[in-house]
Amino acid sequence: MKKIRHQFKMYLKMFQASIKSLAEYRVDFFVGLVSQIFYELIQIIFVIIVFQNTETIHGWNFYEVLLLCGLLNVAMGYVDFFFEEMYEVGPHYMKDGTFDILLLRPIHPLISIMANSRSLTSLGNILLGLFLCGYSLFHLHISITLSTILFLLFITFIGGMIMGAIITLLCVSSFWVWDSNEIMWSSFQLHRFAQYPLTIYNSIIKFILIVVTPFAFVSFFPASFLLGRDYGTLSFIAPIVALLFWVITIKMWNWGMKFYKSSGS
Amino acid sequence: MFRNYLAIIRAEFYRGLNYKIDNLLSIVNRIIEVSVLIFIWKAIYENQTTIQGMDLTTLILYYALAYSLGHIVQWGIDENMGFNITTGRVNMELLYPISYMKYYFCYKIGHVLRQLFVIVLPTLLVLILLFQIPLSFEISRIFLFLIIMLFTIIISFFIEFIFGLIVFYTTSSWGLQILKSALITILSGALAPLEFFPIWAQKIMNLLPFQDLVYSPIMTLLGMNSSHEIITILLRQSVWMILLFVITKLLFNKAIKKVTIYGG
Repeated sequence: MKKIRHQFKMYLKMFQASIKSLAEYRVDFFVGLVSQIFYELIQIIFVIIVFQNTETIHGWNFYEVLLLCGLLNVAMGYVDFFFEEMYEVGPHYMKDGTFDILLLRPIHPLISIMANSRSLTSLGNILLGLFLCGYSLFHLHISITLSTILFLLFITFIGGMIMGAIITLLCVSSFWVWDSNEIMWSSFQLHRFAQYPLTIYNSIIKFILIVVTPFAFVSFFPASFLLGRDYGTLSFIAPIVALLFWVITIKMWNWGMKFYKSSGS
Repeated sequence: MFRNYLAIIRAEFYRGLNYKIDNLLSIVNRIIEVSVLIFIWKAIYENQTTIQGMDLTTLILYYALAYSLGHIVQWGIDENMGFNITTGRVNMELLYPISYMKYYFCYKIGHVLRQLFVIVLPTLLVLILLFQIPLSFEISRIFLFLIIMLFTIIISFFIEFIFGLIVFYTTSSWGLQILKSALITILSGALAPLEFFPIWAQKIMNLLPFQDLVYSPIMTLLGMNSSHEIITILLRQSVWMILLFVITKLLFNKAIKKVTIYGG
């Protein structure tokens, strides 16, 4: 327990330091923010266009699909906030040899990497996502009680952790490939499938979204739960999935670190 | 002179071939992107046979073409141009015996040819196999399609060049890249054929050159528009080519005067 608290404290301190360095990149930051908004806008515009031409998709109406998008957005916000630096591990930490510095620290290198994530635009994602959730729940006449809000905050955090575990697991490839960020980003594109009801996909994709890269637990199952659609045990096991996936991810990381040979001096 | 142009085209063609993983992942990304869209429409077509006059098979073919061919107009030379500006390589480029604009036009041609073989055709092939898309095109339509695509490439060159010029004024280009690609995705008809948009949006898009980047050539190829509409497309493209050429020249002359240099 003491060790975990210590790691957490170190994380906070390092995070503060990296935030300060962000102030230098103001124009870049602003442009990045606008671009990200545009990117999200495309997804929403597409949903609007789709529902101009139909009433429901497999029984899900416009607002219900918007809820899926909202949940995914908030989770993405968490992912960017904590795990954005994972994309730098291959092309920078590994290539430049600065990963060694992380190994010298008394804490797990993953903590250092996470602390170096300084994506402030992620807060925009979280707010946008929460707005979408609130907007859709309101139009679906689902009362937004305290428990609803707590559930939303909790389940999107779990969703973010699941997606973070997926990214971190993909990041293990950095020990062998410097261009791991490209591989990570491409594989992570599978999250796009989670913006829409799971039922529209074929069995292979459904299997991937539930078992291989469990994006279904980020949006589809939580949304189904809120909307009163019953999927049995699948509706409740998101936190367990997150835990299991993280155990696998950390184990894989530790295994990968054995293969690490420094490239720097 | 001509040998110089050819040399630039070949250089750019071969340069990009080295990025094997990047190229492969581009294909993967586009396939995932478009697959999501196709699954959605498949689900919607369970309840109806046509939407805005298009049936499911035609729409799937539309998307397959839009996301393979569309790569050419979405990921153009503005990224390279911007990178060369921020790294200071532009100084060397401005001193070439060939004009900066002509240089990048040849660069664009090499770029397009490479993308065609390395990304467009493989993506299209995989999509056709994945979704079992039947192919049949009229010869006359193919011919018209090629003419339109020629104009399209020229128009997209001017658009990309203008975005590249913006980097003379800002410090970074990647944010603009995403912005531009997002705009083009929507306005070119890559996200959905123009008819699927609300009427007021269609009116705006009709005034802009972007629809001719993806929507117009594909609809022509699919035989979905009339000869009257095709003539309109060609006329509109001609007008925009001239307009964009003038704008590009003006902006370029202004940018040259205000050259800020970065890099060693």
